[in-house]
Amino acid sequence: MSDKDITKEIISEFFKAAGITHGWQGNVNEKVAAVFGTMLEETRHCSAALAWVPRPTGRATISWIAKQLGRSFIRDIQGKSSLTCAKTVIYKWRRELDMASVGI
Amino acid sequence: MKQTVLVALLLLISACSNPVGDNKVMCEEPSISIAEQDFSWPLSSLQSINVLNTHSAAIEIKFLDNKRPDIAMITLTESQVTGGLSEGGYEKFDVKDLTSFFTLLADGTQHSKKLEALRRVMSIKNSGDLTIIKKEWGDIYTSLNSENGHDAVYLKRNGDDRIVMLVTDLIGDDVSYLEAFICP
Repeated sequence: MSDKDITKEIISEFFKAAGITHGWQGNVNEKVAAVFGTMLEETRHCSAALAWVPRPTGRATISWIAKQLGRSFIRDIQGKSSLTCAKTVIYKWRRELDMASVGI
Repeated sequence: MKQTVLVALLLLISACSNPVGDNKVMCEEPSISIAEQDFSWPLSSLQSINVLNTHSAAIEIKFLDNKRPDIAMITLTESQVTGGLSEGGYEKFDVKDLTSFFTLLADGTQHSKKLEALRRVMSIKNSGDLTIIKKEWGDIYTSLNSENGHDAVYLKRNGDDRIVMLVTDLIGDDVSYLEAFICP
């Protein structure tokens, strides 16, 4: 799997962990990675479930998400109900994420 | 991202739990105030309330009764509502503010490729999915099924940069039902 594929899967699993059944279907680019980095950071403030997640130096990138979070992130958050607060973060940043995904 | 313009969100829940009757009666005893906007939402109908505060930390207040619908209440900026488009991107669509932005999205006669992409991002499948209600105090934008099957409501009050967003299943096609819970 490419870093983009892993990043897309991570974002999608994050959405599912927040209770959004269908996950996220957008296309990954560096702007998407940066917005998702912001979402992770905000979720860290509301859920102890992400306390272990490392912080990027500067903006999150596709490479950073794939290598620093990777598939262990997916395994860790699957089925975690404590990420329900992330739903609010998604409501806030969803548009920005999708806009970045389609390059508007 | 203009994190600095995020505003404090104050959630006050009063002791009122059973507002009934017409709009006037309900709004005499609002049940919830969010960003200084009063609502007469029957608290017994809420399952959980998601709140975003000034430091971007979401908290969840959950009523442990699965029979009740979920609702999120968030204070956003115009930039967040438009996915960042308000920061230098409005001119791409020849709009100047949030109201003209939603008016364009709701205009079923406009079908440029770029606009259709924007509608997809905003989860607007049909022009009828988006309703704009103009009130004396500001505008209400309702977007049906735009939040993963839930409905979104944006309240843009005159002279106030804070946009209150509600995500709920309570609206359905009857927007007037929603209006009855928003206190003028």
